[in-house]
Amino acid sequence: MSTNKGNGMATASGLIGKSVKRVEDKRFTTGHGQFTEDIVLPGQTYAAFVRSQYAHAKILSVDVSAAKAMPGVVAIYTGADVAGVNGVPCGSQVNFKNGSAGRERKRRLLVADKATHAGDAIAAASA
Amino acid sequence: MLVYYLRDVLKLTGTHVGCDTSSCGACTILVDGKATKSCTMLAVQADKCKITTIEGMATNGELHPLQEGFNQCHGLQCGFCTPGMIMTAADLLKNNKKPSEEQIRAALEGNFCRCTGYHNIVKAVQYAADKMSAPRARKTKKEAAL
Repeated sequence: MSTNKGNGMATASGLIGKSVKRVEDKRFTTGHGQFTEDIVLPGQTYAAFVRSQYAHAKILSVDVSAAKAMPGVVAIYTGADVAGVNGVPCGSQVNFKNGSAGRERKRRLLVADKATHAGDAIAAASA
Repeated sequence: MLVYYLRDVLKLTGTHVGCDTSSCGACTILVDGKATKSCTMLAVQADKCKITTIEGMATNGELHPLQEGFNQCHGLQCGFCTPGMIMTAADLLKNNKKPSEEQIRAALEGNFCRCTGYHNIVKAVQYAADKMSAPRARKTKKEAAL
């Protein structure tokens, strides 16, 4: 603690250098943790994605008619359907030392024109 | 598959599906005492078998030494792999009361953890082995309150 004189918080709490027991462990070690897949809501549907098999490819057309005709399908989305909300922010803006804004990569929910990596999402089905 | 019967029908969601291909071990349960990956076993194959899942490890609210060990040794972060780790380790400790570090690591080779780096998981299993082999001591008031 003597080396931490400048940090009043650390001295007051006395937690620096100590092993702190987690309070959330009991539910995880007894099988009562809740992960996304454990959640079941009334009327819940599940999504599946069609992803690019190619690392770089133009999308010439997407035919959703066969998927739409399947029983239980609630919705099909393609890049064209989500054009209005495409380009979601990464979540944290990083700036340069001089204060100028770093270039933020906008993430596309579904690609409409071109896939730029294998696994790029092209269409989503909810059923 | 047995894991979906446990999760979807019996609502025992403590057993997890990580990879669906028997690679990650998150779905490990005990079938007649033997650690088994329930994502590649048909539910019907478990007919007349005794199944133990993570939900059955604590008895009357008292944690199994493995469950206690994972907490004491910081053997988990997100907790997704933990049930499978505990079930695999339970099978190990049943057959080997005092496993070496190497034997613990070998036993857990089919269980993946993406958070902790395994070191504290091994310590947690050693903690449980020590506790289970020690003569039964009276609980202190502090322990009983945990």
